[in-house]
Amino acid sequence: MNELKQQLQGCGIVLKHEFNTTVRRVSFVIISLTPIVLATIALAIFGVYRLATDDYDADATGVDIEPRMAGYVDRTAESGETLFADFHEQFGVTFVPVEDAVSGVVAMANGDIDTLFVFSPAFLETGAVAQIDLAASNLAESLGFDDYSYASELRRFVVANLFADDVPKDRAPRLTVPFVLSTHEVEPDGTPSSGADASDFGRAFFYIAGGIALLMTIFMSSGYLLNALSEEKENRVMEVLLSSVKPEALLVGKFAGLGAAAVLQMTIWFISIGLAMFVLSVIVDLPDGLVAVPPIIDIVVVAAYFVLGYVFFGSVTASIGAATTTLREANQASALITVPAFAPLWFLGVILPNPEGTLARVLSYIPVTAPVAAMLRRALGAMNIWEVVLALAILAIISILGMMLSVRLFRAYLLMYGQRPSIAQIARTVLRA
Amino acid sequence: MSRLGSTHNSNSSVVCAERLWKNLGGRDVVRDVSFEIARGDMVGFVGPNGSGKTTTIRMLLDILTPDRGDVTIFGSKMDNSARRRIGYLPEERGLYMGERVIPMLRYLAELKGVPPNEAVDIVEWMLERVELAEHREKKIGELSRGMSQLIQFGSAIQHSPDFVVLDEPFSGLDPVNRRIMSRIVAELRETGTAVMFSTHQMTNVEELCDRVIMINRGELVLDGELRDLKHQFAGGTLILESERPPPADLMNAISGVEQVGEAWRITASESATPEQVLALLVTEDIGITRFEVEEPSLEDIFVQIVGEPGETDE
Repeated sequence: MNELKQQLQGCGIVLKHEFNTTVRRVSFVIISLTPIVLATIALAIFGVYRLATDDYDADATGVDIEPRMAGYVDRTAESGETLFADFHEQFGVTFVPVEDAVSGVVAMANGDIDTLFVFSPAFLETGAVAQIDLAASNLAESLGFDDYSYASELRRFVVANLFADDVPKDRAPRLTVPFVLSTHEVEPDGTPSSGADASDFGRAFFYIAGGIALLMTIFMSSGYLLNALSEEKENRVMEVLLSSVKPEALLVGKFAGLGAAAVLQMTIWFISIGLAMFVLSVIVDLPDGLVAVPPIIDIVVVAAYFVLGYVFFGSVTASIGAATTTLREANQASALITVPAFAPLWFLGVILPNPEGTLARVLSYIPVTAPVAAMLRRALGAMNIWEVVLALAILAIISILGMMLSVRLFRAYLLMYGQRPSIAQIARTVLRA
Repeated sequence: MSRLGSTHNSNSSVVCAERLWKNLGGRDVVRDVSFEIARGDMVGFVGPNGSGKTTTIRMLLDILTPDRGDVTIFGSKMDNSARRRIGYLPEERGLYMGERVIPMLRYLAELKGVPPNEAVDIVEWMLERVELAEHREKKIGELSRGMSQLIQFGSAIQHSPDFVVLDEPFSGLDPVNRRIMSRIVAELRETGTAVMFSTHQMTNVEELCDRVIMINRGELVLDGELRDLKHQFAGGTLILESERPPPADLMNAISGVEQVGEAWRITASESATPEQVLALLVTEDIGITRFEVEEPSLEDIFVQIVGEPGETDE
């Protein structure tokens, strides 16, 4: 009993030290606070932009549209009939009559209008309209970043002016906006479909954001573990530590300490993302599901994948740290595990259209690819909870075995300074384990 | 070998190694090594580079597991309680370079079971002892090599262990720091702490140790009290002061005579004991005023047993 207590005490001391050391790292602080800083900057820019453009118009759909001024020269009047005299406001674009092309260019140069259309005198026969713009004055303009297509508004402007007086008044609006389409899905029995609503959108967002955060955290923490082990092996601290605590306690303490730091990092990220979404929802309308707290089951799934994924990848990187001789070599070797981890992303073309397909399912059960595959499939509304439980159980078993193996390799190779064990030696150690 | 095989577990036994074997990389690095260290022992653990000293120490401390044989520490198998009663300064020194002195020492003290509320005082006390209190706020990486070595030495003894293992403690130390460390090691001896002092520098062992354990090529070749060993390996060289020079040939009992200042260094032949040589010299009536058996240095004994240096195979 006393032995166990002392073992746990040793674990706790290592945990505390690793946690304190990690959270004080400049890289940890920067990466943890980056989402907060980025979100703050983005919201500030968005807020300033909104304040500066609060004279925006809103069209019938309630979507804000930046107001634009388009000048036009109606040369059809030269033939005696003025065709374009009304309907100047078209969904955020105001069509302003201009005397002639020269006046229009001057107005553009003065910033009074953004573009100029010249209707040909033979417009009714040819439909010819010339658009005149000022030449690009900077790189952004020349690359077309500031281009705006007036085609839709121009078409409405023309149709309204040409035909509005010739159709019954109650049908006139349908000349310019023939229909407003909305789509609805139903189940085979005719009831409204429960799929693809705002909450699904929110869940997809949660799994995508959570998945990215989870993977970044797992790999960063595994990286810290790898660095810590390699550095301790390189700078010979390891031997001092092993004279004080058992290798198992040392490894578990390191795992737990770095894991706690990872949890802190994820918590910061999730809180900052949540706050940013909340603030954004106050400024603009967002789908309800996007700002709601995700269902507890989704939080549990992401948390379970985080814990088990961390133990799995951590145990593999710990083994790599023990069996390699330098930090550089360890980092190179760790690519063997981090590259396959993202394999599901290579098959996005297959998984996205068919998240319940064989490939998607298989990748969900392979420990290396399981976290990414599961996050993807859950985001797409696939992978029912029993599949999740089975995949997590496989991941848990492999993670525990991996942990035991890493302790074995840790004990066998940590003090082999400058000597890299051969594959055969490692295999023998693994088999003995 | 006076204590070879005397691997009994007496009440005062601190560590007992019984027939330890270790194979590393397909080679037997330690072969059938047995010895025991008792409370208050100051033991020099010597051997050439690569003789298996560090591997033996790692097995004693449960850092490596022996392929064969057993280690008993404080009367039982190594456990966490025993670990806390041990201080270890490894040959391969290492501390966290980016860590400051006090947190580094506190961490190592707490790992040895020192309660956190006592660790600060203990660390301060240790820094005073190693005369580095003024560097307490520095990072380890900012200290000189000698200073960081003293810090690590301090970390090995700050928790008042009952058994201290120092692997090549003086290597790289300047005379001032060496004196500080020697003083503290001597203080440990007074408190009854068992000290195992691994080195290949024999002069340090002669200054500090009562007992010597020597291994060569993984095998224990010598284990005994330093005084007894010197006596055991003495006999070949005699110092004589007399009114007249000794005869060069003394009934084949002398193989060489060399004048050293006022005295004569006589090399006795292999078959003659010092007593026989003295008896023969007395009969020569050369007016003997001083006759003593010159004790060999530990280095002489080492070379005699191990041979010339350079046989490194660890």
